[in-house]
Amino acid sequence: MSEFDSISDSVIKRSIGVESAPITYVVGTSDIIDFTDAVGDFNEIYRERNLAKRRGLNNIVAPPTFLRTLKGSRSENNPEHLGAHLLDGGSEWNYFEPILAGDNITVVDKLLDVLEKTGKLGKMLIWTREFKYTNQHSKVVAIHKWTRITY
Amino acid sequence: MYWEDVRIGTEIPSLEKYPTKEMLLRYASVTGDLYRIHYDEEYAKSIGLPGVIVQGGLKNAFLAQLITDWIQGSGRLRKLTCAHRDMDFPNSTLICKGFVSRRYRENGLSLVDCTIWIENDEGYKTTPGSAIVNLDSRPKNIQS
Repeated sequence: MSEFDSISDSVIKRSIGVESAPITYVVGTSDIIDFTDAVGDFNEIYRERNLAKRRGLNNIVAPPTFLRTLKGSRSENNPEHLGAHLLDGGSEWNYFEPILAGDNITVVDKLLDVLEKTGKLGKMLIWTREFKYTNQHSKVVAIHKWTRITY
Repeated sequence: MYWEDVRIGTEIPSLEKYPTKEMLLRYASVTGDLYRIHYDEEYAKSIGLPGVIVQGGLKNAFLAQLITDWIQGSGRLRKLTCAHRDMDFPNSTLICKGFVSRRYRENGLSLVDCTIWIENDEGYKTTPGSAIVNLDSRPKNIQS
């Protein structure tokens, strides 16, 4: 029996649909710049406040996948992290409002679904977790559905 | 660029990225994703991988940049998807590409659907995806 097989169905079933405790972050200018430096995206809209203002925004904007830096629940407690190996299967992002430096963004996540499949890696579980990001005006700015694979 | 300037089949200017091992480490640092398959060569090989692999999130960021570089201040990204069909490795060229697959108006918005992907240096599509972009519509007093 692999380490992975020891994750019981009941643990998984208990986890589906349970929302994490909300965590609120302040989006810092330096956080945005650090992220864009890391991914090699030097678009001035992420650095120049005056450019952002000319485009009708109150501050520099965060790039679309910056929200990955704002963690939801403590991931090591999530059942998908109890498996042997973990791979990123893909993402679906829906964006509703710009994310700006100075915003307070609250993250809540929940496990949506778990599917079992057999592929080239053998038995795999495919986990889909949703992250909902809400700003200080109670507007949902983005929803990220993140699929990960354990084997 | 206005919505009216775009046609089905319009190509998105390609974006070339060259993720180095340093870039993978920096991405791991800013996202707090410290899974060792992205920076520890020995560990990656010990679990059957050819070596360290590029983070899915980093490739996701590259595809987002493909779109935001293209639209600049002409619109907003509404939806972005990607599937990590195969692994990519550091110190190799990844090319992000795409084209407009649909152009339509919906709920008062001028939208385009885009088919996007990342190709490795052998031309293989490792990371297919899609985007929906809301482009500005040309004001009536401005001619093309």
